[in-house]
Amino acid sequence: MTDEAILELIHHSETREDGYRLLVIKYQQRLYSIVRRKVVCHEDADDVLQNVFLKIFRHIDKFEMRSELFTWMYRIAGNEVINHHKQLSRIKTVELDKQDVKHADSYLNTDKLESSLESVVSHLPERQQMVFRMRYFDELSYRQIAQLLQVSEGALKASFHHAVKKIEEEFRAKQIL
Amino acid sequence: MEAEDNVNDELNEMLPGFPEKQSMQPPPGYFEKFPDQVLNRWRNEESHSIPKKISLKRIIGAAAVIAGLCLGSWWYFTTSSSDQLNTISAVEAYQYVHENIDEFENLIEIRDADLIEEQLNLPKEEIEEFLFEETGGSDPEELF
Repeated sequence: MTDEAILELIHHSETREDGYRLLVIKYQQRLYSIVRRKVVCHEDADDVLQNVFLKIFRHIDKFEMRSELFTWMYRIAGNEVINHHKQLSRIKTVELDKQDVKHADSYLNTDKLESSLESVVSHLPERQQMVFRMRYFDELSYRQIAQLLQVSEGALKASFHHAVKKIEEEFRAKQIL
Repeated sequence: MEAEDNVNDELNEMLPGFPEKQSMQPPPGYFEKFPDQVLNRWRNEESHSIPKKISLKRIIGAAAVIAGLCLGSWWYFTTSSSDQLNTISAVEAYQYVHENIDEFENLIEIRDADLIEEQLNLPKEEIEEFLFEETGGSDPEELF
């Protein structure tokens, strides 16, 4: 179902909840994937994701279609992740609950390659790093990234290609590729 | 996302052999239950929502109004007693002074003494000028 059709359902009181449900079903996996990478464990991701959708429901009447719907939702998700981390730092949790770490191991498919990739990406120049993360990890389209960063799609493609080139050089140097 | 927008496809074109991104999967069945969970939370929120949000601005505004009323009342009651003096006529004031002249005698003496002392310090030219004006232009020495 298109975003326009879903918004049409949401804007009518009798079909509002149907619209919300369809919105959740359409975007829950993508948003979960984005949030999950930025928090420690699944339980945190679940909590943040629920807050993301509640915030979307509260403010969707104000959404003016100046960007794609997912771009707007992505921004809300980013802010909720930041709020989550702020809350955690207020609680001043020093040690991770070992049980949480165990859960993370169960659901997180990390291996040497992925951790090497993370290490290389974190050393990229800031702009290239941001574009690479949004494109590769968050799977945003160039159009969506352009709306978020207010940069042309051409410049973004160039940034992404440069980032990939640097990663390739590092991987070859480490004989990963 | 459109097929041509798929990042894994793009990477395979740029860099064959580049590892495909590992997706982070939740526990089995999570996405089947999630829509109901979040909608139930939403319904709870809606049923418990406060009709009018009490904002900090409203609280400050109400406090300012109350403070203004208190200040105004205090000002009104404190100034009203002094305003009473303005309602006394000159006749009433004269009568009061006359009936209670003893209380004012000391004050008069002090004032007169001050006045005399001031007059003794006046230069001669000023005294002559004063007399000239008071006598309508006559020579002051002719008066004495």
